[in-house]
Amino acid sequence: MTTRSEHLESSNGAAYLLVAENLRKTYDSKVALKSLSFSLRPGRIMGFLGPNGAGKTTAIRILTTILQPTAGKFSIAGISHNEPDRIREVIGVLPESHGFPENVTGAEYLTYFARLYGQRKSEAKKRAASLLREVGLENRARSLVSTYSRGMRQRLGIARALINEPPLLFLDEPTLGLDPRGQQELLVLLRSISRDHGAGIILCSHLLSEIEEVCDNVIILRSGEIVASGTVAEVMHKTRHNNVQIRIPEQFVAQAKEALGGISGVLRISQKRTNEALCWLDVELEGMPVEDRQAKESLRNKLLAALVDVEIPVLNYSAEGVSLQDVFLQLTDEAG
Amino acid sequence: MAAAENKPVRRASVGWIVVTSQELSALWRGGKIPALFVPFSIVLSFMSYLLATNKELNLTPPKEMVFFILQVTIAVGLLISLIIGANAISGERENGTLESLLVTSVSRRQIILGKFLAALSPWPFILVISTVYIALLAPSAQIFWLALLLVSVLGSLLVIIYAGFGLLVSIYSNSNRSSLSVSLVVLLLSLVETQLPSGGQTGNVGYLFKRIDPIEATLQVTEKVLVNNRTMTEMNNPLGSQGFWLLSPLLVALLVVVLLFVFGHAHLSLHARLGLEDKLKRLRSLRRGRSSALMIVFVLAGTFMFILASSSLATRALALGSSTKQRNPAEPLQISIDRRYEVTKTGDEFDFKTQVKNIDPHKQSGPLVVAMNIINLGSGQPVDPEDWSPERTQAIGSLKPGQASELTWTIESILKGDYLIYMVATPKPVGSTSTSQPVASSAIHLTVKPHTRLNPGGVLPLAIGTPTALTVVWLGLRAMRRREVEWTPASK
Repeated sequence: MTTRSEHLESSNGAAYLLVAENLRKTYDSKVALKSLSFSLRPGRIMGFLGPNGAGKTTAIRILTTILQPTAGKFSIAGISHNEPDRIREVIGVLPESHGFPENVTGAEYLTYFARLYGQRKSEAKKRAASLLREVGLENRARSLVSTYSRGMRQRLGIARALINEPPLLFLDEPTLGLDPRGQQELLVLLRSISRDHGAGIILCSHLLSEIEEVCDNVIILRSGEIVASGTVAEVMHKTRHNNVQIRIPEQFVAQAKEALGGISGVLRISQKRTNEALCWLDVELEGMPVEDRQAKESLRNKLLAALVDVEIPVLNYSAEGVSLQDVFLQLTDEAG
Repeated sequence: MAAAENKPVRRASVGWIVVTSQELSALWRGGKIPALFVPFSIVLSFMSYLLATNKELNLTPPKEMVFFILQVTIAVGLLISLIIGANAISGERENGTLESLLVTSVSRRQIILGKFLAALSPWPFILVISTVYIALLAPSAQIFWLALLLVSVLGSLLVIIYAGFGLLVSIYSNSNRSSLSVSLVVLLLSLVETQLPSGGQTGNVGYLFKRIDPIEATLQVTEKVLVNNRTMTEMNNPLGSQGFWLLSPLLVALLVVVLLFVFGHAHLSLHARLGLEDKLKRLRSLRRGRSSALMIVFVLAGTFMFILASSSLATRALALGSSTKQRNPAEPLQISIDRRYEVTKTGDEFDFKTQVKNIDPHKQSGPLVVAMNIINLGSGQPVDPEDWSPERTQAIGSLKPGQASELTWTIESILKGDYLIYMVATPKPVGSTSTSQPVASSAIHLTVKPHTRLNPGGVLPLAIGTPTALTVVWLGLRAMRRREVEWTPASK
């Protein structure tokens, strides 16, 4: 733990744990990552958000020295990316959809990794036991990993990423495939890790809720480019609109557009067909301050009332409110 | 730079040792590898018992039985190591465990070294198991030690080659399927050599081919030294008639190790950079003419096969062209032998002498070659003298009128039975199209009695005991592992 603060003081006076400048990765003619620049302070949680193929995993793999950047540079705890061996000493990684060896128990698995980082066997065993306790797996320490549930495996993976007490942790889709309860448990664990270890975390996800819940900062990527970045609050403010989505049978679309179009505050109505008979209407409303909940809700009710008045069957009504998801959808949908 | 000093320099565990021990426990703990030893020892037991008891097979000389055991041992050893090697990296890629390993602070080279050593680990045990059977079948202590030396030196070289090769292929494959199929195809190709028509095995090209292929070279050395009474020095004399057979296994082993540790580690990445899969896919789309490089490989292979075939045909044509119908008068030569009747036991050796005399009072003879011939009186078939004697032929220079030359021969009684051994002195024909008249000696009548060492009663206890002991070891390891692991999960 002492090493972390010393790292920081040493990194040219700047209190950054990680500094990335213009990272770029291309495969032949395909651009996986156009230009990624950001910095992370110690103890902060940064979220990487984006649809599949946005370049999140590529970015993580460059930063964890698995891939070499085509251009650009980065440093972690003051260590340049030209020294991957030394960077590996100060990072912990939970790769995307990682596996486990057959026929090992949780304790054996962690002991192995502790020893890979140079710990003596006895130390390694102790470290494994304490981490298993921390991620709540102490009861299953002697069970084979193959008998673990998905959530337990992810927790074991996180314990493995923590084995060398890294000041910086990379977690690529840690909640992938978990049920809501498992996701929640994992997020609680992440927050406590960030608090107890004081480690910086870079969290990759396509789940907005989890980024919104645990991250201090967020970077939204699309097609290898940053489309938004900043604190979660800053990014949320980037949403220009307030949307409501309504599903109705197709034959009522024209009628519904007419009914809704007359309401003040409605900016635009666009339609998306889901199947032959049903349509989603996407109603964009005038931007309103987040605080003014009442005005927003009454406008939404007006929309619903207008449809009910002309006897249009409303099959589904979704008022999303301003969330990271709105921003995300807006920013990542634009190209498509 | 203060950060550099902060880096934990002290490493109580060395990376490759940790990787090796982890791989070893994955292979051995729970009895994965020991489970393979059981069928291996059953095969060897079955073979030994058959060889020792079956009337027909009992005709096989004991040395050949030992050679047979060595072949199976080497084959099983290199196959197991090849498969472990071929799974090593591509298996981790497939399993999704490679990335976690690559982000640790262990260097790529140490990972490869650890995996390589683990792939070699079954070999010493296979060797020990095989030793039991060699001891069982070896007709003498001398043969036992010779066989053990051959299999441990040459077998180890081959295991190093194939474990390393499998690992190399694995580094360049994204899936176990492709790395296994590429490795096995190469293994098959190196075995195919022995299956080529005899023409492909003789001639200069065949000569070269046999010496390049480490498996073929190993089997040649083993067989010639163990069964055919050649010496290791004879087989590895670069200037001698046999050439330097050990060159290929030594060089290929060196090559594989250099490729692994000098180049391979740089290519150990999350996704195989060369991607053997892509290459295989391209092979499939060859018809569309996409890959000219592969076409070249095919054309080269075709040309090579053509040269091989034509060289053997040419050799045969030349042999036919030189035949002739001329007849020479009887040669004025006499050949005598110093024994008449001998009784031995299988495996025993004895010496005898021959004398060749030029009985022509005026003329000097041409250069002579004396050849040994052995007839089995039971079957009336000739026996290959190569199995019986280190020297099947001996050459003498020209003999002056009245001059005699004495030669010493060694015979090893390989099989029980009644035999006639006689010698033939063959003068070298004078001209390139002329012929000559060989002269035969009287014969030694040799009765070979069976060696009593090989009896089914002696074979059976070990033939049953070894697999049983190995099964116990395997089950014991399994049980130990089961005790280590908690099977009924504690309630959370």
